[in-house]
Amino acid sequence: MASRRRTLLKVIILGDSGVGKTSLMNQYVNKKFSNQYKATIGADFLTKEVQFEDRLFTLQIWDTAGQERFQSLGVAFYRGADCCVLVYDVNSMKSFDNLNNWREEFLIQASPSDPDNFPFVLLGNKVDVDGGNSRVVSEKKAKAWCASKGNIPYFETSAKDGTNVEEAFQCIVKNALKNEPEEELYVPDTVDVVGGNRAQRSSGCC
Amino acid sequence: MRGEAAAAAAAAEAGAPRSPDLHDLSDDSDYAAAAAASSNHTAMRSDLADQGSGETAKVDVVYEKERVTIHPTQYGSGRISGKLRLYLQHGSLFLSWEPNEGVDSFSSSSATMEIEKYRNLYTIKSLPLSDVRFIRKHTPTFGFEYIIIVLSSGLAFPPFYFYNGGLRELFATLKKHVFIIRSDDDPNVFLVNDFQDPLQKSLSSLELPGVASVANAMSRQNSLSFTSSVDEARHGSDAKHGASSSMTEYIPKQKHKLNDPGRDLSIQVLEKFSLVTKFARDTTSSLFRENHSSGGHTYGRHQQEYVLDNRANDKHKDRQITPDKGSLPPDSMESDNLPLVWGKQRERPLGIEEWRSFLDPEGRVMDSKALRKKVFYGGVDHVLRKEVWKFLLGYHEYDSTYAEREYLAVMKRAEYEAIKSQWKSISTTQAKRFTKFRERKGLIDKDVVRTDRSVPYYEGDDNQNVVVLRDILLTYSFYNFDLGYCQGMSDFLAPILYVMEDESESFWCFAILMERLGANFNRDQNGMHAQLLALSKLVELLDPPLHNYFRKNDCLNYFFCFRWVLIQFKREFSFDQIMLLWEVLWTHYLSEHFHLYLCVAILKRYRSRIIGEQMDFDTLLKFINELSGEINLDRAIQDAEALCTHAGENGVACIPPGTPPSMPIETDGGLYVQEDEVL
Repeated sequence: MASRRRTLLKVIILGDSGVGKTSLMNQYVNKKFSNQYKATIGADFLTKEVQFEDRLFTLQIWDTAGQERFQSLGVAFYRGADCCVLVYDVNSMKSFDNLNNWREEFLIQASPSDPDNFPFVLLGNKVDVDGGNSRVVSEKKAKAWCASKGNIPYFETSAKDGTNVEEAFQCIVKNALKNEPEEELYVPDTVDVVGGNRAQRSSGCC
Repeated sequence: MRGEAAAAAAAAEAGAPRSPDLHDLSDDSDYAAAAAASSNHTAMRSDLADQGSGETAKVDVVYEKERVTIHPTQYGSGRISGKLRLYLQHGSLFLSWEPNEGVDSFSSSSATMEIEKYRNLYTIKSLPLSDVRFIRKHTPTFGFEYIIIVLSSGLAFPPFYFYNGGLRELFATLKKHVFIIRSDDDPNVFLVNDFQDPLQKSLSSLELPGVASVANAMSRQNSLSFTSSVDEARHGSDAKHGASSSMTEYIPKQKHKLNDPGRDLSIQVLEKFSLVTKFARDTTSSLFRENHSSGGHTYGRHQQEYVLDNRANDKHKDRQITPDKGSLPPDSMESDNLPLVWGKQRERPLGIEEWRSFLDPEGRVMDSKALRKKVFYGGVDHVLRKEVWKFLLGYHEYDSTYAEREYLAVMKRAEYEAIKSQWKSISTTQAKRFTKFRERKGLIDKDVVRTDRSVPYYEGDDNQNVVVLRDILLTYSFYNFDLGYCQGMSDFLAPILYVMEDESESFWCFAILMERLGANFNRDQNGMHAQLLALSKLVELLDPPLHNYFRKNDCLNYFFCFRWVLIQFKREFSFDQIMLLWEVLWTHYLSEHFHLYLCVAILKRYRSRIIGEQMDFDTLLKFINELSGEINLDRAIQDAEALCTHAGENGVACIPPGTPPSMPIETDGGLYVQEDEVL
């Protein structure tokens, strides 16, 4: 039944500078957290082999510079993306307010064929900081935003202690597949999964 | 295969055999006389030197263009503008180029002496067009159009750049007055006075007195260095080593071109156009060794005949004979285009004793060029960096005295404190209503704690040096509010503060560095795009196969080099190495854009892997990012030096004026307008 051929899934992580994009990526791929990351210059990516529904995929996770000033570079890196992961810092209202910009900028630069249905996933990172006492963006507020953008799946994560990171990326893979052209799949049950996914997207993801 | 050894051997001998009646051109000032002498040899004219001055009344100027400029050195300061004219006299067409009086606006005082020398050397008083074999036209996408004039004798003038355009008119005028045709082999080559077969004309140069001896002497070299040109298949081994006097009977006519005394002369003259041939003599590394394997055996001399373009600007290159581009497969072309030029072995860093020797009793740097050269080849001993970097960066004038510098430090400290107080005095209440300030500060706060924290100077919690880093960047964002703060700036500042160990001095050094590199951080990314574009042009020039590969694989945006260029390799090397590399770059010794040649050098090193593994854009980006910490810095600098030397003026022409780190071309709108920039 399911094909064993490998397929590349391209995921872009976007969000303000310092919200933890590089850390999330490294926590997911290398299960490591470091206090000594450097600000990302330009772009980089990590890859991870993932299995989903009996199929093997190479997940290519792109990490880009967070400063708005570098957004114009996006054109080169966003093209061909299967899913866009938006990240904000729950302790920074500004990083939450900027989500609209990131989302719109992505849609402009990546110009996906069906922008209305392009899969995004939102991560509210750094929930570990100060035991949650410095938090300024509530879960409710974040979920409301997600609902207003067509039910974007939402996760609250900590790249530092790994909270929800695995779960979030499981969902990212699933959503990235949603965008895959059906003719390339040719596996009927996978198409079903995509359909099923669509139905249950409103409540987080998986 | 034998190309390299043979050419090297020939190089050692170059110019040794010399006809006694040819002028020795080792002294630049003899150039004009020697050029005249060579013309006499080719018997193309009689006694023109006298005509130029005496009979101006009969001159009919048919073309005149100002701002036709030569670049005798690689520095912008070494450019000489002049007036190019075509005029009719006694029914014949002549060309003249006279440099403008006085020092060109590009010139700096240190270069003036040298420029004066070139001014005399390259003036053309009256050159009859009948002496011109061909004119090669170059119309680069970026940079100025230029022409190279090659004489029947094989002499070539340095490129003439047309700052005000006028190339079309020039050729239109030429067409009216002389017989000029486009070469079949290269559409940019215009043969002048062509007699159907361009070879015919050069043959006439053989019917000259004194040729035989030169020919014989030359033929010995030819057997070493011109193997590819000697048509072995047709003429057998007799000709190959035919150093005998019968050689001229043996070989076909066109072969005589190789024995052209003009070529011998041209080798000497081309040496003068060569900017840094001495590198070639200090051959220590072999960047291009692997590429010489295929040699040039497959090409007939026909194509090689008249391609003394200006890349052939050193004797080694001349001997290699650049084949005509259009007619060759890319691989072979590449191997033939490559120079036998090597970067110099890296030297020991500038030490205390030597540094003292550069200073006069009052502390002036007496020979700044020699200092920059020294630093370029060896860097600076760490204990001296604090002092020397201020000169390299331009914070201190080379001709300032100890006293002046001390005074400057005091004044600048006060000025720094004044700027710093602008944000220091912002109260918490005020900050609440000052979003831009809060955000800017927030971004800087985030970045300084992730800048070089593994370096002991910046490591650990509550490190005061990190606070100073923050203060300087925030102060800079007020000093240059339009540019503000941008990621990457902290990378530039950290080594500077580490070296200076002084807040104010670090600030000013950083600020002056940003004068050159600020455009890297413009919102529209124009500085970055200009550099990446120039890089693409340089790769096209210096490594056509790699360029073709990038073109086919949609990699020509060179974004995979973005990090290299944005922060000048900061993330690619260790902290110690980056201090060395930056001081080398800051000398601007061979080029202001040496970092771009460094990019080319590194890419070239890995070219076989890039192409062999058929890397696509993503893989390439990943590969480049992962080279961090893996690049051999000394070798990369040496390679880049060789490439820069080899590229010469063609390299300069790849880089549009104002490309960082050149000083920006100022406009009324300010340098750092960041429309709608939030931070």
